Formats: sequence, C-alpha cells, structure tokens
Amino acid sequence: MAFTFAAFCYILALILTAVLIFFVIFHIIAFDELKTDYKNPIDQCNSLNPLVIPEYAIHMFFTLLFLIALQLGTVLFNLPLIIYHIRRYMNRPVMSGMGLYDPTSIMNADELGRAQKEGWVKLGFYLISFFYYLYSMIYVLVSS
Amino acid sequence: MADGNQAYPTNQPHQEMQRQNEQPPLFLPQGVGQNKAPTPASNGPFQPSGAFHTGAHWRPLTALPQSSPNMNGFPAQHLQQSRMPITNPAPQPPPHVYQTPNLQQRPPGQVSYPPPSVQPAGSFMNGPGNTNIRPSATSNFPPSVGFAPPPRAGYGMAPPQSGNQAVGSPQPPPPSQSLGQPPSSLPYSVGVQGSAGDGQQSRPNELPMPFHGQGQYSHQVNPLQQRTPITTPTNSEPSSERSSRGPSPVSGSTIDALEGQFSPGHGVAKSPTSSQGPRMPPVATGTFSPPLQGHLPAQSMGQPVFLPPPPRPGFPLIPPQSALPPSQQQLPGQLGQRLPPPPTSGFSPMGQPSGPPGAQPRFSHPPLPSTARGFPPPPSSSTVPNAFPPPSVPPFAPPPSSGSVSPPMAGAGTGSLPPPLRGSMPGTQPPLPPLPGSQYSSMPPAGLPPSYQYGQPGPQQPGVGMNAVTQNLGAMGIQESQRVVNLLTERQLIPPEGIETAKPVLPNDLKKVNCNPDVFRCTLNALPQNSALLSKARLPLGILIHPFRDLSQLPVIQSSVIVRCRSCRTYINPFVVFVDQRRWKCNLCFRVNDLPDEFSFDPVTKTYGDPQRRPEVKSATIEFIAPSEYMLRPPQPAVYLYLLDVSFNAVETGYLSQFSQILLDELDKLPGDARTSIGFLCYDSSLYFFNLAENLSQPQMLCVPDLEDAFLPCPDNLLVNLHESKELIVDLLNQLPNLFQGNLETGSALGAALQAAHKLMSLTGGRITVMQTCLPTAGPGALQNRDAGNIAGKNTSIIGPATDFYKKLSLDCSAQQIAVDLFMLNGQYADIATLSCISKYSAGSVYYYPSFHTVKNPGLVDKFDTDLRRYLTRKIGFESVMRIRCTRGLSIHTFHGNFFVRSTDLLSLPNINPDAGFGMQMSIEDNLVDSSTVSFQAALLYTSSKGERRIRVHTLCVPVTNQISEVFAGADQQAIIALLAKMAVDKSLNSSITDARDAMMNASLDALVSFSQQIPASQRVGAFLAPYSLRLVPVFILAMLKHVAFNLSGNTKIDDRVFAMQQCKVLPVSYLLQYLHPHLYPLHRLSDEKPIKCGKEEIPSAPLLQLSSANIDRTGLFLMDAGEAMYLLVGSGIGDQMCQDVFGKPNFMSVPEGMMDLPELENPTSERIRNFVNYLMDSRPYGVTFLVIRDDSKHRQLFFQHMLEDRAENSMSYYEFLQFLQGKTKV
Repeated sequence: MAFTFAAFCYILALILTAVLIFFVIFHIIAFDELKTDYKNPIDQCNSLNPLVIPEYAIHMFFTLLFLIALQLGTVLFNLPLIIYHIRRYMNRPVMSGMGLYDPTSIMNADELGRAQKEGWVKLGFYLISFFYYLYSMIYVLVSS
Repeated sequence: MADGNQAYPTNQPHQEMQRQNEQPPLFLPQGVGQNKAPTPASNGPFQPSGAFHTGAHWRPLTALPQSSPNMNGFPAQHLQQSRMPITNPAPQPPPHVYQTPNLQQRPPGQVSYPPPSVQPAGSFMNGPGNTNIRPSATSNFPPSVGFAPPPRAGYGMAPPQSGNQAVGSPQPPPPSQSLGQPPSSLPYSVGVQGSAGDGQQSRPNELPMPFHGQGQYSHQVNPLQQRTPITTPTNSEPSSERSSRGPSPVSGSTIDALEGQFSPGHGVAKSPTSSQGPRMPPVATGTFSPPLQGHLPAQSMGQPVFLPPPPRPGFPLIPPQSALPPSQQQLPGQLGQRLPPPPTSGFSPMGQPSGPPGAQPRFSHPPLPSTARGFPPPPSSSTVPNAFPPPSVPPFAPPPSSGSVSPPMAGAGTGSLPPPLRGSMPGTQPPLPPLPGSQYSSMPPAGLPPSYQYGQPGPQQPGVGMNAVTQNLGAMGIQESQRVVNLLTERQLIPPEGIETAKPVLPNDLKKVNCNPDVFRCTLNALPQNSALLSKARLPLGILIHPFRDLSQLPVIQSSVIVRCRSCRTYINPFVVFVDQRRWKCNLCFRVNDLPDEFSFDPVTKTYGDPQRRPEVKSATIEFIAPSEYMLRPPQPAVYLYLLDVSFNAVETGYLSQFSQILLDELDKLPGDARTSIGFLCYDSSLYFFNLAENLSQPQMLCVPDLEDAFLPCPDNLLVNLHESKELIVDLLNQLPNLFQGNLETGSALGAALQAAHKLMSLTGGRITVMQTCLPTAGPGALQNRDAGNIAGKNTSIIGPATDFYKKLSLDCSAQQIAVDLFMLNGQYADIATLSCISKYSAGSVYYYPSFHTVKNPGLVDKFDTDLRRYLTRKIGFESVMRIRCTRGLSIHTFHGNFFVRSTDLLSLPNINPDAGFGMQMSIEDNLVDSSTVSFQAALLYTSSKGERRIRVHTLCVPVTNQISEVFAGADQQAIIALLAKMAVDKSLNSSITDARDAMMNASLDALVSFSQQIPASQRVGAFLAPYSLRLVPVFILAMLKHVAFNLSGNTKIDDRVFAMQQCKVLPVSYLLQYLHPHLYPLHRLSDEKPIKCGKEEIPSAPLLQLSSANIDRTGLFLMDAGEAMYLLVGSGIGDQMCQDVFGKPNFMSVPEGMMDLPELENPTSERIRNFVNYLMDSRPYGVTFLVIRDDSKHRQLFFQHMLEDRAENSMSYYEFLQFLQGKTKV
C-alpha cells in the first residue's frame, strides 16, 4: 500500500466532485426557482453564469490529472462529459460575458426544461463518479 | 373619498404627498423633479372638473374621445368634457357610479343614478363615453382620422342618450353626484382595497393612487376605425367619460370606494345607441329605464359602467314595453345555466340597440356586441343551435338554429366574416332555472332578463341588410366547419367575402360574452382534453393576443374592490360560476371564493342583489382603474426622448426635416398630461444634447465627443416639460433640419447615444425613439458589416445578433421602464438583426424603411409620414406588465413578441402600444377534466399617459373536448398560421431557415395526415383531405415558404429578412396573415351588393381572389394589398374608358409608370375605386405604399411576386406543393 500519484488524483477528484455536486444542486435549485416564479431571470442568470466556467474547469482539471496519472479508464469515463461541455459552450447564445444562460431565453419552457434535465443528469453522473472515485482510490491504495 | 381625504384631504395634499414620496426613492431630482413639479399645476386645472365627476367616479371613459383633437390643453379639455355631459342635449348619463354601500349616502336618485330613464341613457352614454374609445384622446390620430372627436362625440353620445333619455329622463346632473360620492366612498374603499390588493404586480404601496385627476383615459379607437368614419363617431362619445373621469382622479377619486364605475363598455351598445335613438327609440329607452329603476339603480347609472357591457348587450335595449321577443324570454333558461342570471343586469344597454350595425361592429368589443347586435333574437332558446350537425351533415343544409344565430355580424372587426357559429357546447351545464332571485323579481319587466342574454329583441335595425347576409354566412359556416375538403379538387378555398373567423363554440350565453377574436384567440377552439389527444391531432396549441388593441367600446370600472381569486389571483370574469349569491368559483383554479358585499350591492335599491349584473361578469374585456396597491411608485409621467441620427448619411436622406415637421404638427397630440416631458439627443460620432431649460431664450446645444464614458451635461434640463418649454422645443424642431446640414461626419455612435439616453431616463422610464440611418460604427456598440452576400438558409448567425450589447442595454432599459422604438431608415446593410434587440427586449417596436430618401424614394415618404404620425399620437401605456393565466392543467410553453419574460407567466413591458401583438405556445400538463371549458386570462397593468394606473383584463373561454373530430372542426387556421410563423422564426434563429421551412411543412402535413386518418380509408383514396377549418393551411404555409422571411432566394437582403421575421413575431393575427398572404381584389368588379359600411357611407366591395394568375385577366384592374404595400395592376387590355375614368389618361399606354396615387377624378368609377382603396388603407394602423403598375412594366414583378399560388423560379405552385405534401404522406 502506497500513496501514489493516482491515489492522490482520486482523493483530489473526490473532493472536487463533491464541490461539483454542490454546484449542480445549486443549478437545479436555481432553475426550479425560476420555474416557480421566485426569482427574476436576470438575477438568476447573473448568479449562475459565473459558475459555469469554474465547473467546467474543475471537471477538466481533474480529468487532466487522471490523464497524467495514466488512469485511462477514468479519463474515458469523463470524456463524454467534457465533449458535451465544450459543445455546449460553443453553441451558447451570443454573450459578451462568461456563462451559458441568457435571461431572455431561459424562460422558454424548452430551455428551462433542458437546463433542469441537464442538472439532474449531471447530478447523477457526479454522484456515480463520486463513488467510483472513492472505490478507485481505495483500490489504488490497496493494490499498490 | 374618505380614504382619499384621510390620506390626502384635498388635492393639494395629494400632490404634496406625491412629491414627498417621489423624491426619496423613486424620482430623482433630475428629470423627474421637473416633471413632477408641474403636477400640482396640472391637477389644478382639473380639479374643477373633478368636482363634477368625482362623485360619479364613473368616469365614462368615453368622454375622452374628443380630447384627441385638442390634446393640448388639458384643462380645457377636461372642463369641456366634464361639462359635456351636462350640456349635451341629450341627458347625459352623468357619471355613473356604482356606489358601494358606503356611497349609499348619496341620494341614490340624485347622485348615482339618474332616474331610471336616465340610466339607460347613461349607460349608453357611458358606453360610448366610458369606453373611451377615444380615438385616443391623447393619442390623437392623424387628422385624417374621421372622427371628429368632440363634435362627434357629442353626436354619438347624444343619440344614444337621447334615446334613453327620452325615455326617462331626467338627467342627473353629473356634477352633483360626483361631488357627493367621493367623500363617502373613500373611507370605504380603503378597507376594501386592502383585501383586493393584487399580489402579483404590485405591493401595496404607500403612494396614493392616481392622484392625477387628469388621468382620463379614453380608449383609443382602433386606428382603423378611427379613420373610418363609422367608428369614429362612436368613439367620439367619450367626452362625457373623460370629464367624469378627470374629476374623480383629482378629487382623489382614486380611492373612492365606489365600486364600480364603469363605462358602458359595449361598443356595440354605444353605436347602437346612437343609432338607436333615432332608429329604435322606443325600445331602447323603455328597456333600460325600467330595469334600471327596479334593479340596479346603480347599474342604470352606471349602466355604462355596469352594464353588461359587452355580452349581453342585446338585452338592454329592449324596452320594457316592447315585449321581449318570446325567444328572449325563453332564454332565461339558458342564462340560468350559466348563472342564475340575473338578468337583472338588464342593463345591457349596450348591445343591441346598435345603430348601424356595420359601423360599430368593427371595433366593438369583440364578441358581445356583435352577436347582440344585429340579430334578431333567436326565436327561442331552443332555437339556439345547440348541437352541431353531425359532421356528415351536408354542408349546406343549415340547421334551423343556424338561422337564428346570426352572430356573425358581430364579428365586429371582421365585419364581413361570419363567424361560424356552433351550436351548443357539449359541456354546458344544465340550465338552471332562472332564479326567482330577488333581483329578478325586482326587475321591472320580466322580459328584460332574458333579453339580456340574447340581446337583441328582435327588431333588426334598419340597415341590417348586411346582417342578414352575414347570418346566412354564419349558418353556412357552421355546417361548413364540419365539411371535409379535398384539397386536390377544390380550388376555390377563400370565400369572396374573406376568410371566416373561427370562434369557440360555447353555450350561447357565454359565446356572446367571449373575448373578441381580434383581441384574444386560441389556435384550437375546441381544446383537447389531454396531451395525448393534442399530440394525436398534431396541431399547435397556443394563444394569440393583441392586448392593447384600440377598442371602440370598453367598460371601465373604478372600484375600491377588484374581485380576484384568492388563490390564483384571477380577476372575476364572465366565465366564473356563482355557487350562490355570496360565493363564486374561479374558472382557472376552481377555488371557491367569497364575494365581497360591495360586489353585489345595488346602490339604487340599497340592497344586495345579483352579482351578475356587474360589468365584470358581463364583459370578457374590461378595464379597471387600479387602486394604489397596484403601484410600486407613483404613476410615471409620459416621457419621450428622441434620438436622431445626424451623420452624413442621415442628413443625406433628408428625414430630419420631415421628422421635425411631423413632430411639430403632432406636438400637441402626444399622449400625456401636464407632466409630459420631452427631450432630444442627436448623434453622429459625437453626442449632441439640447438644453431646453425654461429660462433660456433659445435651445442650447451641448456636444459631448467622449463616447466611452458619456456623461450628461446639465442633466436637469435635457428632458423638459413639454408645456413649459414648448417654445424652445418648437424652436429647436424648426432649426433641427438645418443645424446639421452639411455634416460630413459619417460615424454613428448609436450605442453611446442609447447609453446616455438610458441614463437620462432611468429615473422615470418612458419611451426612446431612435431614428437610425446606417450601421453604428463608433463608440460602444459599434458593429461590423456582416453582410457577406446572401444567406441561403444555412448561415443562421447572420440573422441573429452579432453582439449582446444591445440586448443587455435593452434589459437595463426594461428594468427602468424604458422602451426603445427603432426607426430604421437605412439604405445599406445596418444589421437590424443586432439593433432590433434594443427594441425586442424592451417591448419597443421596429419600423423599417429600406432606402428611405425624401427625394429619391417618395413612395416611402408617405408611409413614413403616416406611420410616424400614428406612432406619435397613438395611445401608450407605461411601466406595464402583462400576466397570462390559464386554467389549471395548462401552462405556457413559449412566448413570442417583444417583451422581457420576467417569470413563467409575466411579461415585462416598459411600454405597451396598440399595435403590439403577442403569441404564446401552450402545453397541456394535466388532463383537463375539471370543467367543460378552459379559460385564458390576460391582465395588462399599465400606467396611462394621463398618469392613471389601469388594468385591462381579457378573458377567453374555450370548450374542452375529447373528440378529435371536434378538435379539428374547431381549429382556427389563421391563428395556427400566425403561431407557426412565430415558431418558425425561433426555429430559424436557433437552427436554420431550412429547418424552419421543413418544420412548417411538417406541421401542416402532420395535421392533415392526422385528420385524414380519422376518415374511412375508402374516402381517402386519391384525395388529399383537410377539414374545412384547416383548408387554407397549405396555402398559407406555401405563402410563408415564399415569404421574404423564410424563402431561400439569394436575392433577399438580410435586413429585409430579419425585419420580416421581426414582423412575424409582433404583428397581430389579422395583419400578420395579410402580411404573409396578401389580398387580391379585382377593382373593376366593385359591386354594391355587399357594401362595406363605413359610417354613413357605403363603400362598394370587391370579392377576394386567390393569389393565382388564373384570376388575373388583361382587361381588369387588380389591387394587391400586401399590408404595407399596395400594387395596382393595370391590365394591358383595359378599356380606354376605364383608363380615362380612373387615371385620367386616354388609354393604357399613356398611364404613367410609377404613379403613387390615384388622381381624384370626378366620376363615379374613380370615386368608387378611391373609396375602396382608401377604406383599405384606413383599416390598418400603419402606412401603405401605393404603386400603379402597368402590365408591361418592368416593375410587374413587384405585383406578381405575390401571386403565391403560381410557380416561381425555385418555388412550387400551389398544386405542386399539394402534390409534394401528398407525396410525403405516402412515404
């Protein structure tokens, strides 16, 4: 049992994934608030948009670490989400600032539904990855 | 009043209060302070008038009308108006006040209710007056407008009044009434108000309500109508109204407890009234008065107010004496169904009496009037068409019932179109026997109650010839709606009278009350019960609304209590169910609510009676004068800022002189009150501000070259009070054209100018008008020329914005209640796709004049002139929001139009104008099993240009069905196409135009395939079937595919395309359809057989032709009316006599190219043609370019490009398109 770089990556990813889970939950709550009229879309978008890039960056960051640690299985596991993120960001509405959400179109039921669905799916993904990283961390620690 | 008194004992106190309030939070010293300052003064003038009417509270809104011409002098106007009632020869219905119990104090007779007889008159009066149809008092229409407000007003009112009055009576002197009431009311109101508070939009606010007495608002008449002689007269009436109103506000009426002041809402009624007086004198008078007396004194008074405005109009008129037609009596049963009906309401003055059917109908409230009006009451309730003929029924055999039903007339707007009536609603509840209820009994003439439902007692009015026609049509429509059309064999799809307007099939009593389809309509007039059925039918579900449309008749209510559902905040409406006399069940959320006592209080009898006589329950379109709970801040003044491009390009077009001249002409007609402010800001690559401070001897120009951080020099004097600085403003406008003559600066700093304008207006909100002639190239918001040639449907980014600068700015503006309207006068690419964002999210409007040039392009100059005059003077609402509510189980999916969506059902509209249309896609979330109908309610809260907070509520009721055949039969093809166009625009922006085209084709295909699957296979062979109600969908889809917005032609300029898309988003249904699918008329076949009634005139009509060259022949004159442009094609074989008569030229060859007007020749042919063309031009709220095209002209393409059913270079003919669609169905 040794504390390898891979183990370090998993530990770090574990922590960061927990952070991502909070991000996603925040998204879900925010969109739900929009749907139920509690918040003004401009305010809501202003609070959500700054979180988008950090979320993507965190996710890409530990995926990159996995790549460096040669945890290719884990990288493959995360690759689809990275691709999705990149595509999503490239197709974002015309905006001068960072972020994805446009207050003028977010209230469209399709947009809102999609954002919410995305939130739930990502929540599931991060939860699964959380346990996967936990398992992998232990596995790496134990096996090495 | 007490409230008012308490809070603001007198007017002055009010003012003070205002100031205090204002200054701190809301208004800053800058612009605002100035603006406000005047307020007191303004009030001052009004006060007197206020005294008059105040008591009444009712302001008959109608009064306003006249004001339009006079706009300027408010005080004068008010006074006049206020007095008008009195002075009128006819007894005026002084302000009708609905008194609340509190009010009781006043002697019923005196104050509120003029003697019974009076009442009727009042009602009428009110009707007209209240309605306020004012041609927009403020707004003013172009001089051209037909109605002469004042005089006419008098006219309009008088007649009705006379009729009524004659009957009765004494006219209550308005003034006294008004005075008395106010005080009493106030205290009351306070308490009530609290309860009434509207949760959503506003919080209770400290500020007193509308302190501004001025606030009379008249409702503008439809632009169209206005112009048309007919309507105008009706409208004019408002004077009385205005007066009444004016006062009330002043005195603090706002707070009045009076429940209701209503103006008689029904346009119909009014018109009728006027006409009636003469025509049906006996009836009208008789009827009204009696009912009033007995029952609702209040009503009577208010009749106008109360009375059932819209719906039941018919009823009112009937004089007691005149026995009600049997049918009516029977009717009660029906009524009963709905509600125990209180026929009491008898007041429906409105309706029927109607004068000239033709005229009024157009604008009148939608449903109601129309129905009521023209038709003889159905013989009996039974006659009412209850059931539809089974689909199989032969198309034409009209059901007996149909005959009786003759609603079509009503179609007010449409006039010609008979709405297909359908018999009964399946869902209707069993009729309740009319309650003996106190009210009823009280009613004097038994007959009345029934009548109210049916309205017209029978006598048709003279001049009803048209009605008869329409009736027949209506009958046909019913049957037709069940007909199956084989598109491949049936070529004549468009009826010569125009396309029918589909209406929901409701039980008769509800049908009459339902919202005017021109204002509010649903794509499916029989709503599927669940989403599975909807997806099976594959039809788009949505609603289209034109909320601020100019109405000729609009009931206005000033009440301390606005009754709303406690859970969903729905306003009480004609479609609620009264569980008993004290409770009502919300038709949206089904909660059972208590009814405030005031709601059923009858001031005349001092008893509590039937709530159903309230105008809220009688009209699906109604306007409330909102109490202070609906204000977040004191109502803002009208503030107008003009941003003028003065770069080289702009000077070159010469628009400045035209703009200045028009603004000078219309300066006095700008909607507003004494607080109205105005400012100017010119820009090229610098900003030029104008200091217009009162004390200056001439305007002072301040140049700010720093664009990045534009500051406001002397911020206090850039927006100035229009009245105080008028001389300077006039001076400036006179100088403006020359000021920048020879300017060589080509840059345009639109972005910086808008930022400065935003800063300037952020304290008050208001309207920014931008005149832009080129691509903005300087400072923030500078754009690149993205026009890389044509877009062939692939590249979508170019039809979307290049930057979000304008969008963000627009949102900032929206937050500050600023709307930006854009006039694009560019000859070259100016990236309307990006610039229009500034208007799109601030609820502005966009106008586009490609290649505008005062000399080189004279055709557009007239259009610009007409548009700008209309724009400057049309009615306007500030700081508004619109909330759309719908029955539980439905939800709004997507919004279309210009606005910002603030929450799932709330649109933020810094300004609302009468030409803005909106669309909403709906989705069915739950099964709609709770009720046999669903309702949609749009509530528009706005501040009028007179500083009054108002709420306009439209309610639409649609039956629910679980039969797919009924879904198809109830489809409204026009609404469907309008909604599809909006959806296609979104699709184009999000995906691509190619995808949008496919989506449109698939939408039509899916629906037709789905329909034909309901038909036995044996009948389908070799046929391409469509229900009658959807027969035009392929035609319209083809029209859209060929329209500049969605075609794939490489020749389309991007700005043209983007503007066309923008128009698809915002045009109201009828204009949009004409924009997509022009109307073609053979002018050589004008006939008097079915004349169009326009006021007293009868205009010959021409049949509507389909857009196929097969309909064109060489010997004729054909008019292509494409909405914003008209082309007159002169056939090469035209007779010399015709040429001489119409053009003043001896033969075809001598007709000059490029004529843009028809010469005014003194011969019947010319007059008839000009009358018809002018009628068409006047029937729309925007200008038209007119061009005569000779058959051998090189411009012939302008005409023939609209022949949508022909094959064009890369587009299919209609027949090919059908085959193409059919081919797809088989795949």
